[in-house]
Amino acid sequence: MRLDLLLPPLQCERFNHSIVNRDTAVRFVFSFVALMVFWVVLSGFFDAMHIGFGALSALIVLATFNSIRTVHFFEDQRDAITAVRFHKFIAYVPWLIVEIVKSAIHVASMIIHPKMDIEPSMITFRVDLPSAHAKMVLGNSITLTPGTLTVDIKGDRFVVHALSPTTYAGIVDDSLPRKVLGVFSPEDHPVVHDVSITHSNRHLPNL
Amino acid sequence: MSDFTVLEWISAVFIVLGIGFMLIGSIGVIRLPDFYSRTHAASKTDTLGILLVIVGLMILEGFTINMGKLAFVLIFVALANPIGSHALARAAMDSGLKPLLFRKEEWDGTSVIADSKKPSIVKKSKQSPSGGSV
Repeated sequence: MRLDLLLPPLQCERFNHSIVNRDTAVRFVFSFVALMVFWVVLSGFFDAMHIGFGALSALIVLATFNSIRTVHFFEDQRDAITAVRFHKFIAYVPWLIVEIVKSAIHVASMIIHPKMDIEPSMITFRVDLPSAHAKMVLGNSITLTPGTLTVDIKGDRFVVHALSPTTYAGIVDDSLPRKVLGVFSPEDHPVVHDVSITHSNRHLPNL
Repeated sequence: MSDFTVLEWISAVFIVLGIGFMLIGSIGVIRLPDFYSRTHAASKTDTLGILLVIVGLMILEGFTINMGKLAFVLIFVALANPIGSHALARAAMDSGLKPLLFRKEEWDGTSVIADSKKPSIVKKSKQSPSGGSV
């Protein structure tokens, strides 16, 4: 991450981004609808006054965040909403929930077993994913799955702590990363490479 | 007993299962050996526990506006929980805390078995006599 990217964007940059094209329109409509749904569900009133206040608030939020939107934190950062393939995402969420339930049962059974058959290990691997958002989704999915914990992501290198070999099997055999790739890109290719698994403190790689 | 409807029974099953997962998570925080493995127990088993409790409450609530609010809680817990545990683990790794890693054979259920062939143990036995003689 470059520190100068944290500074407010230049005036000319901001001007360039305010040009209306298809992407900005899609982004605006999507953000507005999401904020309105959030407002309506939280308020629970459907009369014109409350909806009007909601629309006003949503517009103020969008106007405030319009200038922040132009700041880029990563080299390969791009707008996620237009890159996500929604039919794949809708299939991905239930698949992930099933994986979470399966590994939660596995981890819970390991914890309450008298011998506690754990085998903690560090796994490092490189990924071949199209954008920073795809890596974010993969890292969050790994952490959300019980038994695996994303410790660090540097560039395309992941460092993952796992509680037992069963829990990291889904990462090493490329099934979870490929699903994430499918959400973001129509092409299908192996994602995970350079996998190394460490079971010993003395052979810890440079993290 | 028979006053309960089927939906109430189903939601009760979800909530009790969720509380069970949270209990196992708390047991895991005590039983597991080091910080990183305890993070697994503290955050992950709890994630499923909270999700199950909220789903149970959603079934109990029925199709109302409150179900939508509970759905938002569900989404925010699912988003915030991995970020929180990742931040904890990353901060621990950056401040130099080494994870305790071992193979199944080296583990007796409560601690790592001392093996004389290991360099860490050899180092210790070398240090203590020299320290005593000086």
